[in-house]
Amino acid sequence: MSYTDNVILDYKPQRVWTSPVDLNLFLAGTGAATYFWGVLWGSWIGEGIGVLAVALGGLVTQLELGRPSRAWRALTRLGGSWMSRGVLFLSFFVVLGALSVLPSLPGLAGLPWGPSTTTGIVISTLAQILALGVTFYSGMLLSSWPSIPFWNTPLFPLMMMAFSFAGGSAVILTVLSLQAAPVSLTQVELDTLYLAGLCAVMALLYLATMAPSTLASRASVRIILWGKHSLDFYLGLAAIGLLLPLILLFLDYRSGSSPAESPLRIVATAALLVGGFMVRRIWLRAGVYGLPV
Amino acid sequence: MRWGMAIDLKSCVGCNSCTLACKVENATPPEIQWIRVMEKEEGNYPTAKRSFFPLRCNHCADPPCLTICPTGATYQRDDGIVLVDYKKCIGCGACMIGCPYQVRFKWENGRGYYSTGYTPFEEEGYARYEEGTYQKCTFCSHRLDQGLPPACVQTCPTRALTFGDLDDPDSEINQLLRARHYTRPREELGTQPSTFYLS
Amino acid sequence: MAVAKVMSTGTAVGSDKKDVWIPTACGMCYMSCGIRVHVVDGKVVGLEGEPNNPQNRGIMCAKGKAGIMNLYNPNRVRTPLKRTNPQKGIGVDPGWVEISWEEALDTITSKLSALKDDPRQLFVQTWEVIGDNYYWLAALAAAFGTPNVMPASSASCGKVIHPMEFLSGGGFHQQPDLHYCNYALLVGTQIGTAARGCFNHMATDYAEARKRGMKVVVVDPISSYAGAKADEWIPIRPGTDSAFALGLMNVLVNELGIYDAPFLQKQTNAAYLVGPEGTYVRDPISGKPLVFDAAFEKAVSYDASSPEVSLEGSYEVAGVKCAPAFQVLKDHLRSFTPEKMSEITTVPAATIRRVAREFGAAAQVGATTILKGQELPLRPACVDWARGPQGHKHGFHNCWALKLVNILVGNVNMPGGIQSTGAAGNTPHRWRPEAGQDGMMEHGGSFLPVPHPTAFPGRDPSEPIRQDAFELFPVAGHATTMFPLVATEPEKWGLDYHLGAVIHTPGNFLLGSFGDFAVVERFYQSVPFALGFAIEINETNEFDDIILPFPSYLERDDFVLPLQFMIPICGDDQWYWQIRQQVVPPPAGIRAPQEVLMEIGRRLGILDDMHRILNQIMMLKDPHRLEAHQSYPIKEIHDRMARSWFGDEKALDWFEKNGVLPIPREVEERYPGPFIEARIPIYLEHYINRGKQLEAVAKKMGRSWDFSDYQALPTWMPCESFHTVGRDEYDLIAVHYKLAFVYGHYGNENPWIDEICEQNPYTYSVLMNTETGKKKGLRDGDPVWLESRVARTKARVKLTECIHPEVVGIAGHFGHWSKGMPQSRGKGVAFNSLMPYDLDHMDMISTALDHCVAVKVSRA
Ligand SMILES: Nc1nc2c(c(=O)[nH]1)N[C@H]1C(S)=C(S)[C@@H](COP(=O)(O)OP(=O)(O)OC[C@H]3O[C@@H](n4cnc5c(=O)[nH]c(N)nc54)[C@H](O)[C@@H]3O)O[C@H]1N2
Ligand SMILES: Nc1nc2c(c(=O)[nH]1)N[C@H]1C(S)=C(S)[C@@H](COP(=O)(O)OP(=O)(O)OC[C@H]3O[C@@H](n4cnc5c(=O)[nH]c(N)nc54)[C@H](O)[C@@H]3O)O[C@H]1N2
Ligand code: SF4
Ligand code: SF4
Ligand code: SF4
Ligand code: SF4
Ligand code: SF4
Ligand SMILES: [Mo]
Repeated sequence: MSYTDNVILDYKPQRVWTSPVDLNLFLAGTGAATYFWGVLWGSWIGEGIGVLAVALGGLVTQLELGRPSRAWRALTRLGGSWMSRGVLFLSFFVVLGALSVLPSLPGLAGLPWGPSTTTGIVISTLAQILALGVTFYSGMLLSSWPSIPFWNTPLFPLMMMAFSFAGGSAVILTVLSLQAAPVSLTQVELDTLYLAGLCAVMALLYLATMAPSTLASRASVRIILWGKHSLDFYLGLAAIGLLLPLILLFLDYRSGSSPAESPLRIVATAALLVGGFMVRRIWLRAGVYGLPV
Repeated sequence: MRWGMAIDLKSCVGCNSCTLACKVENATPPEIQWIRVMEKEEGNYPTAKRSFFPLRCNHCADPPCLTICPTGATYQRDDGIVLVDYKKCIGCGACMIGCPYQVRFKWENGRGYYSTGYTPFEEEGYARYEEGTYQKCTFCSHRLDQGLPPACVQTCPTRALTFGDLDDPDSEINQLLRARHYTRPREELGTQPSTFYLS
Repeated sequence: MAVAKVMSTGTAVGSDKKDVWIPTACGMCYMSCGIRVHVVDGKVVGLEGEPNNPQNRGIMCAKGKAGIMNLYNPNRVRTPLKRTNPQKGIGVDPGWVEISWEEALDTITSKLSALKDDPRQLFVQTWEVIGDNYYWLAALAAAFGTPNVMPASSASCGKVIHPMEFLSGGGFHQQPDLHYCNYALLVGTQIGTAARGCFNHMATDYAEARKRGMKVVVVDPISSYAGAKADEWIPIRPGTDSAFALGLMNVLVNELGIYDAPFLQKQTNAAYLVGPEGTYVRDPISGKPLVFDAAFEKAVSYDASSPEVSLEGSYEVAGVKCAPAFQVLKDHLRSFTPEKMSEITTVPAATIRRVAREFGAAAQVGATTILKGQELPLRPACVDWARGPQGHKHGFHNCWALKLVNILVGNVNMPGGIQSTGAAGNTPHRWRPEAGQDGMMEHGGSFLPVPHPTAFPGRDPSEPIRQDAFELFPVAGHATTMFPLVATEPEKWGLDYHLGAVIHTPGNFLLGSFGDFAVVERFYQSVPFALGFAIEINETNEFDDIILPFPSYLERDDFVLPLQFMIPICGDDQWYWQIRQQVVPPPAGIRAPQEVLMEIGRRLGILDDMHRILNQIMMLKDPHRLEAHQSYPIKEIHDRMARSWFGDEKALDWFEKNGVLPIPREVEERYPGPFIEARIPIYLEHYINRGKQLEAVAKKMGRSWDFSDYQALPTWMPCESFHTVGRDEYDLIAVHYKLAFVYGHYGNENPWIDEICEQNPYTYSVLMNTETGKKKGLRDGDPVWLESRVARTKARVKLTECIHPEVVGIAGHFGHWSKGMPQSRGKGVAFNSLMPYDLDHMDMISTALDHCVAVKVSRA
């Protein structure tokens, strides 16, 4: 027996964008930030991972479209639709990002736009700017629609960016650790720690400001704190996704361990990535429509 | 010319004739009702009662679904009717998220009502749709073009639905709007819906 | 833009046009609205209301709009079937195998022929009232020679209303005159908002009336659709409507002095003198009832009096102390004080007083209006009721009390008041209610002879020979609810035969017509041979030995759509004749049911008798009468009917082209009230004698019997649940109500309708007051056990503010288990299964079953 309360006027969570849109948002945001940090810290592997993640995110979404084969049409309304423009940014980013990484790949060093060439620098700087756009854009888009009040706040893109950059930073931290890179990781680790802290603060701030805001956003907060997604929230996001990495990174930082790989960091990175995914998952599913009438 | 719909909430009895008139007229696939009758309870025992709100696309003058749509599949006619070109739609769902009224629907997997295949009615009716794309109330534009009222309006047993040209000051709908109190659904969002709930 | 533009009108089946609109009648409920069906390349692709049909005026309701999915239901029966598993029972797989028509008809003929030496052994359930198949079945039964016919389906809906209308209004059902009514007191009905027929015009007129300022007060344990559109909802404890009405009348008559004296004097038996025995004081020579004539200052027979007959006072006539019936009523009412009635009904005494005041004022006793140049009384207030107050132990008295409110203010068949449906007409022939014994209304007006026996003066009770013991219900319209009770133990009722076979329509009698399914199961098991028609295999069909496939309404030809003349539109509206015709041919294995029945009749050698009977009920005139030794295709008979009634210029082909013939009506047809030359009762004198006669019969039979209902004036007596509510283990009262988008069981298999039901938590659930639920520790949506003394079923609870705290509300007709109904199987609650099914839970006047069921609810 399937009963629904479909026709009861009530605050209803959206069911259109759940999974794998959460995966897309996670991959695109974290990937772009990873690329960003990769360029900054000179980790081409990080850059590469970033680009791949973004591309994968794009692919996942495309496959989920009602008509995947028509995906190209998403680029046909650049004049009017931010969504269309977003797709363009994302595509440009993937192209430029990939271009910028290519010369670093073994055997391709001969390509004329190597990392130290002017062209190379222009490309990667452009890609970096686009990456910034990618981390910002999806949150921006979702927050721009009044239909779902819980998303309709500048905190949304900001928090998404915080998670993206925290995740990206952690990935770079791990990559560099595993590479046993000759750079000092203290700064990267400290960045990651601060960013993770920022994420926690923003999530709390988000919930605190949304709870009293509208009835619909209150319903969203309720879903997160007491409802269907409370386990995701307390365990997935709060405990694993934020608290655990914060503690591990702090301990690791305190212990002042050397550039050599530290299992704590790897675990912390994984946990932070879980958090990054969880926040998208939860925030999407807690997107409750305002009343239609 | 701009089409609009007035819905008399005092008359509507929640009978769902409009819902199924639309089903027949537009052969909408399973789990899709372009118009559905929302309801809520008001008051406490012993003065409680149920009240009904037929809900369909409002053919907003400033439709967020259209602003969002990355493909241009969602478009607006000169008479204000917002339509979807099923051939262009990629089924991304952005319009569904952006529409504050939850009145857009995706036809998943070309499903019909029976696992044994389409009925002759469905066979004939679904030919106009594309699976995986979004659809919604068209204000029965195909009927309007023939000079017929929308199917839901034609059948509503309580005559709660009045359809007409908002730009024509003498139209039945404008006369009603002058005579009665009304609200527009979520008007504060700036969508300029062309639905008017008479109270 | 309100009315549908006329599309190209139709050409019937067989036309080679690829794209046509064919006029026909809807069949998704018994109202048979006019529709036009869009057929493209032999596929039905759309339908729309017929604007020229006065009943639906171009409108179609949700049920009707869903009809296409009934037509194309892949689970329809398409060929004759026979059962291979001899065992019958609920949940037992019949082991259907397909057989040829020849084999099916052979089996049927041989089984039925075997009963011919005592034809009473045949039981026929004819309820399938969307078309004229109904009459063919009745003709078959009559020609075969059995009295055991079940012409109705419900255990509650028409039990009281029809006999009551025959004696107090002259038509078949009642309808408030929404054109002029200003105050509608709706007691247990969802007219204009969800139920009743025809929904389409009622919903329109009701909405219009409310816009014009008609006040609506709904007295109902549940505030669903009716409550939603009421100015005031008055929650009432189920089964106490007579107490409410008696309180109301007491205030009207004894506190406010509001009643229509001239009407009571002239058009009722209010002035008839009643003696100490409760019977009339009669003229010793003529035997006519006497009245006291104030002008002559003496008692004279009712038909020799001046208009100045006394309604009040006490008299002595030839040594007998007596008083006018009205005085007796007045005194009777005094004991029903609003305060006491309040304790029974839970309606505050102040509310009863206020409603009486409002109603009395709104009735404008004495006012008149001019219609088409004729001056008529205007009584723009009425009480309307339907299923709510009927289905109770003592349901007759609930309704009789409510009816009397209308009679007291003289609104019967008057503009603004209560209308009796189809009571009078001029076209194509003239019919009127007529007076009989004692000047009282004896023959209701009916376009065609109806299957109901007259309710006044009733019949002499006798020891039963029918399997429903109808003989023991001398004032009932029918006793259909009794069949399973009597037929499972006929010896105990003094019957010397058992039922040998049943023929039934596609109706779902097992679920819809009786109570406790265990009893009904035993009944269908006890009949050795069952022939059922089926559209889809429902629970009743699961007991059949042979199933014959039945066409969908879009594949049928019907010239008579019974309810269109029994419950037609009333008051200031037109009369009309609408037909049904095939819009698509039925699948190859399906035949026209009328032709199937005539073929069975032919094989049984009774076809000529069937023809004779049909000639009579269908009022066929020469040269169109059906001849002996002839077989006719159904369309030819329809043509003969058309020509007999409407003349050669309106033969069948005219109707096939136009669908409907609107017929204008005169004022006397619209509002027959002032013109009817028959009195209606305020005092049911014949009940006294019928009760006494019955006592004698019961004594002879050695049966104990409850005679408490045989009273001339309405009274309040409790249902079982009145004693248990809040006290007993079964502490709640379950009642049911209808949904606008569901008719009977028809739409249950329709996926569009099911979709609406599934989305709405009120439909398939059990409604309970929020507070009551809290006390029981239940949360909205919890799974619960719903349990009566005879059944236990699992359901989902819907907590709501819109229900009386002592009540559990169940919607629609659900709870299927038949394999042939996969869409609806396991959804909702089969309300009738909960009803204890015996004489203690039956209204002994009408055989209505008590549908206020004592239940308990616990978390599952
Ligand atoms: N849409 C639709 N229309 C229909 C039908 C249908 O199934 N669907 N069926 C047709 C048929 S067969 C019939 S009989 C008519 C019935 O027409 P109605 O009788 O108007 O229909 P119901 O909804 O059953 O109305 C009964 C009301 O009585 C209330 N009630 C129950 N018990 C009591 C009681 O003890 N006292 C009082 N005062 N109220 C009580 C119920 O809550 C309910 O609101 O409708 C006809 N029209
Ligand atoms: N819970 C609950 N129970 C009720 C009532 C209620 O309101 N609620 N109302 C009571 C009343 S007033 C009544 S009159 C009875 C009615 O009782 P029902 O049993 O509902 O009515 P029927 O018309 O006898 O039977 C309906 C069945 O007829 C068959 N049928 C006949 N013709 C057609 C057709 O053209 N199309 C389709 N699809 N099926 C057809 C179908 O198999 C369908 O299942 O129920 C009574 N029981
Ligand atoms: S058809 Fe009319 S009355 Fe019925 S639910 Fe729709 S708008 Fe309301
Ligand atoms: S109601 Fe929704 S779908 Fe319709 S025009 Fe407005 S935003 Fe678009
Ligand atoms: S689903 Fe179709 S109509 Fe909606 S936004 Fe995407 S492309 Fe446009
Ligand atoms: S206007 Fe037409 S398309 Fe829109 S809800 Fe009504 S019937 Fe459906
Ligand atoms: S009221 Fe009955 S006959 Fe009329 S459209 Fe509805 S289901 Fe059909
Ligand atoms: Mo009924």
